[in-house]
Amino acid sequence: MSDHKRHLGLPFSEILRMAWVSVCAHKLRSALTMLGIAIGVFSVIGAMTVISALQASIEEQLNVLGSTSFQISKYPAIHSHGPINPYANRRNIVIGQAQRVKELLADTGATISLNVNRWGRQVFYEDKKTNPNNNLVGTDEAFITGRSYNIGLGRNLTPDDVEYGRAVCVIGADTRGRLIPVGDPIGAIVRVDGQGYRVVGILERKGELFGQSQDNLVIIPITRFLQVYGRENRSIGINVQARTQAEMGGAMDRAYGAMRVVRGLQPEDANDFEIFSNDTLVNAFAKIANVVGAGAFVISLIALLAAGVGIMNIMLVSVTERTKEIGIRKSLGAQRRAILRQFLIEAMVIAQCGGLIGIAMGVGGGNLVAKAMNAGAVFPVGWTIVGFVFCSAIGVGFGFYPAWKAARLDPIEALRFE
Amino acid sequence: MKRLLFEFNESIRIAAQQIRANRMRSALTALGVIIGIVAVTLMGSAIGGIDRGVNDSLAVVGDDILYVTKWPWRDIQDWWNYRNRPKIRTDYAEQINDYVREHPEIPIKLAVPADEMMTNVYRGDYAVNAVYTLGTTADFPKIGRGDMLEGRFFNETESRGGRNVVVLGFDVADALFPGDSPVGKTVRIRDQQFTVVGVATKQGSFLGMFSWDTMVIIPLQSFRKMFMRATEGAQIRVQIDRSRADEARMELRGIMRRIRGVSPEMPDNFEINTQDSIKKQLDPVRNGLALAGFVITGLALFVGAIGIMNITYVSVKERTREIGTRKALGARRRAILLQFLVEAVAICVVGGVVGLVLSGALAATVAWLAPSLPVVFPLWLILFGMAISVATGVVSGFAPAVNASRLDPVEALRYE
Repeated sequence: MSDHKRHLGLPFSEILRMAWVSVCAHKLRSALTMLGIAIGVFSVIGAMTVISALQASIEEQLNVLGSTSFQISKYPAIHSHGPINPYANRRNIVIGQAQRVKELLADTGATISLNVNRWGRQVFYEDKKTNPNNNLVGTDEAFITGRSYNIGLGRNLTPDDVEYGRAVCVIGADTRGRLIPVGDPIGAIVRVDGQGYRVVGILERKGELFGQSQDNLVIIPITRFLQVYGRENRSIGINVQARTQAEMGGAMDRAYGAMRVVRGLQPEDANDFEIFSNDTLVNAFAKIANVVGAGAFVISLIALLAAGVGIMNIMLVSVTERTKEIGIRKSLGAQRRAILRQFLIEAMVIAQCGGLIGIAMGVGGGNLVAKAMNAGAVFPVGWTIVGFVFCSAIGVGFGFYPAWKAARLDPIEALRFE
Repeated sequence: MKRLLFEFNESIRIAAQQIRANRMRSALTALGVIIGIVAVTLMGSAIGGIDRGVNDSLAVVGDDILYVTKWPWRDIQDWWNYRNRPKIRTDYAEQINDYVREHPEIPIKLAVPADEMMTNVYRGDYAVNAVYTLGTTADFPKIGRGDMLEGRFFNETESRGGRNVVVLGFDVADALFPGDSPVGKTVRIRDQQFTVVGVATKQGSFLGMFSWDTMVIIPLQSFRKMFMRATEGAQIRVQIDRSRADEARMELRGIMRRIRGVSPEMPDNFEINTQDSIKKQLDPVRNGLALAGFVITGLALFVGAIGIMNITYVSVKERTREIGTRKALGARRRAILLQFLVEAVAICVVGGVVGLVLSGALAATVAWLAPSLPVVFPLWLILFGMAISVATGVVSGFAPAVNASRLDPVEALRYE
């Protein structure tokens, strides 16, 4: 430490104080330079805050499944409904296969629930009817936990309902709002495709996913569903809920094995089914978000670069103006490193002050934009650190040439400078 | 006036002198502007490129066609309101054409029925999957833009008779008959053998997502035979007079309502689409990109402007004594203001020119490296770039210049 002091002449705190004094000596100039850096950092942090906020809000919406559950199905969770459907030629997962998988996975202790859907159903109650956009689900009592729904009113389906194929149903909040907005809905008979089902429960509202309601559904026992619509031409989805998050990975591996056995796939065959969990969905989405984020980061960095040029320019002016001071310091024995350090720190102080202002502006502005786009507020810690490191780096990088120039000044010439 | 001109000339002279005297400083200040201008103009070039890509892609199908369909060509949330519309029947085309024959004054030229489906096309061991298959009549070439590379389009007799003849898109022909002429040979679609009568010229792709060349065209009658279940894709393509587009649209709506027997109080049970519907679908994405892009790159330019302001302030401060002398010798405020403003603008204009040359070169490099990317560098972008660089100079140089012009000569002369 004492060694350091001898070499650099001044203690660090003193250099910092000197830097601050010279920053304050030219208030307007320093303020404008800082403003440049602040806007550069604002550009980076603002863009990244907006993207992080949108990403967070979409990921939050993506809780299609329960936190410990995954789904086995014929189609992947996200696939385009274009005219070309490469998955359509896959064999359906028939009820027999689904039951086999259930048996094979029994020893994992996971709760396994089968489900089968009919989309675009119209639900009737007395003289009211819904739009034909309801999802009729045939399943069992484990469905609501597997899909992270909650019972708001009444009761869930019971194993008995499934066992005896009772004509009972649990309906979503939107379906209820449309059919039975007032009064007690429990016990009401709603009709789907001409079949009556007694309402035993109402689900709590789950909210929208990509603008699509998740609350317009009617859940009936799967036994009843197959009785009404038959077993042919439909693919059964299998929902597996591991006991804990830790067991989920293992259960998923087992599920791949079980499905391959049941489907009779040879070792060289590709999987002709999909297994996905919330994480799969989030990851698939994160891939897109990362590409967009990288692009936005690079473009927004341009402003910071321009600010760096501004720092360099003003530091050069500062060095020229203080040539005499440098000459005096050098003739009194200050080493090159000390001068270099002094100007570098001055550049850093300006860059970091500007950076802090920029981070504040960026987080604030970014969240305002995100709010206008209906996304929740975030504080992107990672990007804040990246932004701060970058603006410090810009301070050092662009401050180096002026500082080096100052350090190399010949004391005699410098003292004589007018 | 003469005096103003003289002051202006003098300002330019002084500015040139100053820029030369402080080479490093001026260069760095200009660099700030250059970065901003390059960012903004490249963004403009990219957005222009997207526009051109969309237009080029759409131009292939002709911009004078109206499409009568059951479903609108936009994103709809309330699909249940359209589901029960009756299907579009292909014989409407005949009825529209009859009407047009009786009323030659209306701006509708020709209606052609079309139906579409995705199928696989085979030739021996070769197969092309998911080919866009269009069933239409012999009138189709009259409203289309594409030309035949080889052979011919099917004729009226083949069309009416529902013969098994097919016109292949360029890519399909290339994949099924590599290095060979397909005309006169047969391909298999579903379980039917089709004789190839022609190959269409290469038409390119729609933004790289959908190739117009991966298609085959067969007579509508054969199409109906093969795909028995009527598809949802049935449509009537109506060629109109571009100069009277609105009128044509109204007229077509009237004809369609009459054909469909829609009573006056009922809403339309069909949709009339144009290419603009596709453009409109893309518009929110494009506008969002453009807005975000220009805001972010605009910030870079803004930072450059701050740099200019800063350095002009420094320059004013350094030359306080000179300003004092000039004022003492009778220079007006205006002259001082002009002097500093011209200096700031000059740096910006130099920066702007260099920036435009740089981004022009970059755009050209991108166009050269990746010819498939539509890059544009139109004249308006150059003018726009120059205009904003001058504006940047004026805006950022104004405050320091006013400061300079307001200096008290006595104080200024005494300044150390």
